[in-house]
Amino acid sequence: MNCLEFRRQVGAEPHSQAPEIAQHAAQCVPCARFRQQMQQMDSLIHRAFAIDVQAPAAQPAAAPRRRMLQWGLAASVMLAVAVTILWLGFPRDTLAEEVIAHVMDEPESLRSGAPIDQAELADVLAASQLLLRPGMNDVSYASSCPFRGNRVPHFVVQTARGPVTVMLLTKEAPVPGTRQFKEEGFEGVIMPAPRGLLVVLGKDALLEEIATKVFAAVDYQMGW
Amino acid sequence: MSSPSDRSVDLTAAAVADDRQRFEALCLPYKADLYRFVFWLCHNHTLTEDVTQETLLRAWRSIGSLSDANAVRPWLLTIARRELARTFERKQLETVDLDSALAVGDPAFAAHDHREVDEMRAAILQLDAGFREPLMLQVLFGYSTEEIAKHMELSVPAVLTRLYRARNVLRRKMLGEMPDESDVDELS
Repeated sequence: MNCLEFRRQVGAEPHSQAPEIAQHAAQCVPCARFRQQMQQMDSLIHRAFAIDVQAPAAQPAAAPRRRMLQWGLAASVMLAVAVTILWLGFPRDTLAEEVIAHVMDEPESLRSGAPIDQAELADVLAASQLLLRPGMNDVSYASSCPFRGNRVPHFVVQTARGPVTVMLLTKEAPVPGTRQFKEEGFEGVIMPAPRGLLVVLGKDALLEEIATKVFAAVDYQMGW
Repeated sequence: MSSPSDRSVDLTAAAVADDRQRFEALCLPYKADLYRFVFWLCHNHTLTEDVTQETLLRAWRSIGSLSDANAVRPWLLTIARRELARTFERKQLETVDLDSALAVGDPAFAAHDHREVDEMRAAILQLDAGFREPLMLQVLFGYSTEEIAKHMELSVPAVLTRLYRARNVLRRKMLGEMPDESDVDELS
């Protein structure tokens, strides 16, 4: 693969994991820099696309909806209820909402199962320059997932109160303190981490306990 | 004892309740995604609200035909895409001046006051919709190139070309350079 081919491919898929991409980046410093710039730009593109969806609700009522009268009364009532629930149930926090949407996109991650090999979790963390220390047992799922233009570690810890999802958002801007949220039947916390943010998500689970466990088991110094 | 007609009413009500529960569980979590998808294709809030609502109405009516619960988002986005196309076919929509649209402080943009995010939004709005859509699907929704190709009814190479061109234009705009048409066309 030459530099032009590399830049064409990276320009289309900045997070491509193709071996020839990694191989060329390892050998060509300007192309490796180009790839890094494209990945950083993708993070900015993601932030730009992720507009605040609550704002329109505060605007004056829109014109009467088209073709609503075509619908039967029963369907209208049902749908009015549904849409009301929909607006009231709008996630208030964009990051929380995106984390929940991501988890719902991967329902298989929440299935109970035997703990995965620790080496598998270590590989997922290493992809984000994080080191696994002993103590993070009962992890049933681990994946390096695309999220907001970056690859982030996403894993699930099985607890007595059900599965708890953990996402290490090392590229996110830090926040001053812990934020809790409750949306779509999930409870979660977003808290500052040594790099970026830690998000822990579950249903009636001891989230702070899992967060403490994660901080003890993940070494953030590797990427400094 | 209930009569056969009573049981029929009960069964119908139960079916409606099931559909409603399924609709709420499967579709409502994607409302925000749906709104963003439509907004970035038409950048008009009123139209976005109309199309989003119409999409949900259609999804509600068709929820029984949804066979794969894991494919709800692509299903909704496809409905929205078709609904928006129908809207454009039906009437000539008012156009919005991009500079003024950004200058008046669109409330949807108010959550991010970072200058670079605003600049990127302005650059994205000036992208051709044919470039903006695949970029949004890839970056915001995590679609693979193959999934984008299926959604847009394009070939995979065509999608790759559009993604490359979109980023190339955005990069040049963010660097304050004029888009280089010769560079843009090199993949043709």
